[in-house]
Amino acid sequence: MGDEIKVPRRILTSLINSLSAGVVPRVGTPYIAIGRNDEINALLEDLKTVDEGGCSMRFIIGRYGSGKSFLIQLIRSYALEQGFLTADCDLSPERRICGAKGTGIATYRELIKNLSSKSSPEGGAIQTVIARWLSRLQSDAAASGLVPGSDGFNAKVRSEIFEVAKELEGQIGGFDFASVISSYYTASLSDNEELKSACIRWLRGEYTTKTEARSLLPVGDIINDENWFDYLKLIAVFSKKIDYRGFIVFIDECVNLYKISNRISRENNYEKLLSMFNDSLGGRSPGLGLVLGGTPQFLEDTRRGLFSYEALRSRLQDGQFAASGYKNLSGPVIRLRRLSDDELFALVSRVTKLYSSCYSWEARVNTSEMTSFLQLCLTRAGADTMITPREILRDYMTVLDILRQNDDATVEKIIGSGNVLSLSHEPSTEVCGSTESPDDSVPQFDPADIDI
Amino acid sequence: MNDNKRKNIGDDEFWSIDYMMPPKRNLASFSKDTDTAEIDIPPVGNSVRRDAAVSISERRANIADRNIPVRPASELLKPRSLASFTYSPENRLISSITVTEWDSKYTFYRKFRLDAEKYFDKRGSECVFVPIYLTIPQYSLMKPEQLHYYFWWRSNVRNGVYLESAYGYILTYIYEIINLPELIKPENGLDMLTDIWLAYRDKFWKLDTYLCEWVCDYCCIHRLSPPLDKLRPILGVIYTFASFKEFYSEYSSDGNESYWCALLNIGSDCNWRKSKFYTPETADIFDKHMKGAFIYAAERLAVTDSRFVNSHENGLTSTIVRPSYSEALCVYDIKRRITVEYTAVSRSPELRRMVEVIIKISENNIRAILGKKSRYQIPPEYSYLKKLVDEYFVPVRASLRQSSKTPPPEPEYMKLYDAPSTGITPENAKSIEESSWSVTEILVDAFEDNTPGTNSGDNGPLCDDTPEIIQSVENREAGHDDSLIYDRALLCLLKGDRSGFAEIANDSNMMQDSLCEGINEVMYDIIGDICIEDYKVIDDYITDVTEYLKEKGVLNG
Repeated sequence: MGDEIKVPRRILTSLINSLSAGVVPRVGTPYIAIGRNDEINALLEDLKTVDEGGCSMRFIIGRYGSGKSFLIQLIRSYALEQGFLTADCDLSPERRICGAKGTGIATYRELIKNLSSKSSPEGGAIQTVIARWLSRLQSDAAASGLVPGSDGFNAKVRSEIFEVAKELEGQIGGFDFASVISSYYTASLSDNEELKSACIRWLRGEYTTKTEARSLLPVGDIINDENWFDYLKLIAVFSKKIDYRGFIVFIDECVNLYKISNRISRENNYEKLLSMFNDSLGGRSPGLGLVLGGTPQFLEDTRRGLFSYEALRSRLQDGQFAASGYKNLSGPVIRLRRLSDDELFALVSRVTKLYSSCYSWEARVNTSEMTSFLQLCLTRAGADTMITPREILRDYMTVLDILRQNDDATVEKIIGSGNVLSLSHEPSTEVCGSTESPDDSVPQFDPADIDI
Repeated sequence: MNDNKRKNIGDDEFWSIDYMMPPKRNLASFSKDTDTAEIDIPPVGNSVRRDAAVSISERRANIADRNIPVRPASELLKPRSLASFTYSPENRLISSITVTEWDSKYTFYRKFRLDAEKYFDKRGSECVFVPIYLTIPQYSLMKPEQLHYYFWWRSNVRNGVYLESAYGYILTYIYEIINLPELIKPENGLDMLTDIWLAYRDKFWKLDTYLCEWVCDYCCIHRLSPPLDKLRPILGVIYTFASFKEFYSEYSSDGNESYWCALLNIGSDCNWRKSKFYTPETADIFDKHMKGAFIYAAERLAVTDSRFVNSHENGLTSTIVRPSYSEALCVYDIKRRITVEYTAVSRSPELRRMVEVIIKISENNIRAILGKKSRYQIPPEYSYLKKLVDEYFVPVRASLRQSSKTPPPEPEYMKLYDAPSTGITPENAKSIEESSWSVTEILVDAFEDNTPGTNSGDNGPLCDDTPEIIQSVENREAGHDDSLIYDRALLCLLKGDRSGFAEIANDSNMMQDSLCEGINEVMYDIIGDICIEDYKVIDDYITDVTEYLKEKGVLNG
């Protein structure tokens, strides 16, 4: 099966381009998913739980470059294909779980901006999702024999909308949410673009004052820093009502919470995470799956990480038998260890095949040459702490590019002459502007070291 | 008024009401003696006198007078020498100190000194702490239990043990030192004052404000040098509170360096020792490099700016007159008037400003070394000072960089994220790569027959059915064949017939967005990707779409 690779062309091209640039591919990640079988299966189990009406929350923890973002993209793509709604965002100093100056609502806005469905995988699906649902209701009403545009037709559609809205009203913020959905339908009937736009603005959390929202919509509240997670839960319930499988939220670069210098502010964010965790594992957010990515320091640092917050530490820490040497992925934390040397070799081998397929070119690289290349990468100074699959693949793509464009080139000549780009020992940033660095600690200073 | 009195009043005196006035009492003339008077208070309550009741004075006498050597009366009231004198201290900033007697004679507090002499050798026995709230504490104002505790506390303090105390006890101790120069040698007295200051200043912050002045007075009167070595940890505080800062400056030698140190310490209002980053851990670096940087800069500035040359030679002298032991309990013959002639360091506002800027630039550099981000703002007109100070810190930073090359060890938990280095085995790698295809199949589902409604088998948790969205569409009643609608709509888009597409959407009671979405969902299962964007078929998939439509019979070959 491995020899018959049928990868959609656009996906293959995008995948190869992303790997060459050293960024996490947005599409095509399943084709380079190597060495993470257990982790992937664990996350797929979470999707199944969400599909069945449950909820889940996972922390994916690994060093920078270990494949957290890759895994997140992988599961995201799969979830989209399977009919889930997804939303993803990267935290930053301007986007947190909660904070002053709207940093919490900024995260929500980013998530809703990136709301994706199968037919809108690049985001911006909020309008499409609602429109599609209303369109389906209209089609169902028409299928029952009612004439489109008649009073009975409109009444039938409205009753279906109210049926769903009624079920939402039991949730926090459900009444306003239902009102906005109803208003959107009314606006679509009368081609009132201004009202439709107001509804979408409200759902995106773009209103900053209740007065402004009330002037256009029949709502009593707006989505803000304090309640945005309640509205995510609401969207999850809504997604189940409109025949999506569930709503999966991916939040990456959680190390930015660890980097908050103010202790009170940092603990407020951790407290919010605790609340999300309790809701998820307590079954109070049906149809919602949460996946958060962060570094080991973000999780395990007992001074500033999640483990500094006792309530989170007791929930996330491994049990007393966890050190027995057996793998256990049933807990809320998935620890991504580095890929082994063999797994890296398998990855290089796979990329070779994909590259050949993309350019319809037979790669002039054999097993021993791949081994030599990989050994060169792994034996460089600092490779044990600094080398990542991203850097290896980026360099390897350069080798393949040179081989493809120069008929007389060989792998031995390229890597032997040092034409391979030197491995970066500085932390490289991900496409979304990662602020991770391998050494976040403040330099230790001893006055006795100073000599004039 | 009784009748008898009324009978004695004549008619003319009827209107006189003198008899109604209370009789006048003859008061004794005011005594000018302000010594404390002891009063014996009889026991309260029972009218029967208790034999066991003891008067306060008797009780005090019982406690205080036990085993105390009695000093000869001739010594107790011996007048102290009141001669004036003048001298020049070691501090080069101070030209002369003249100590003269106090002008106005007074006798209050004499009782205190008598008692202090009487109780000087008294040792206390262990007892519990007793609070005391006296602003001018004296033995005669203390209760017996307070006195008892004071002696116990004082015995421990004299041995270097600092028990729980109260402000009243500490002041009493200090007043003893000040008022008993014959019993306490001045050198010892200075040590005792300094020790008690350092021991209790954290809890009793007012000691800083008082002892800054009293220690200065004590040293001036007894011709002692200030104990700068002992007081170095609190020099910053002293420079804040002391009214005569020059007394505490280290300016005892000739040459510019001593003068520059004085400038650094008291030549501006910027007290760098009060910086929030000045902690016991960083005090060494602050002290070392503040001085080093300032001397470095001053040395270079002295070449062109005479204000940085030894000011002692410039003759900017000032004179102050200060009463000694202000606000302290001090007997008349101990009290002095101290006249100081000294050289005021930096009377020039511009020089003070320059000193302040140099200090701030130095602190910025030290903060950078300590890894702190906050900085003082330096006005641009002082950029030449910044350049000088930064020059000093260049080798300092270089030596720091060298010493911190060794990275700190990784925390223990990082081992959970490492993989064992087993070397590369191509056969093992090949089996890993081949086995990964199973996961890829689960994730992509692109290698099975993806016709809607077909169960492609159990290869994973979620791959056994097509999305319910498509199934729900397919489960509609007959007559609404969406796949036909999608195919026709797709054909329109392939041909670029946008209006035809809109018409199909309208006829199907679907929004155009929804129709696009439905088509994309179908095509995703077929070609693995969406094929329509912005109501156009993506160029990469035109061939695939054409083949698909031909297979469905919608597009003729």
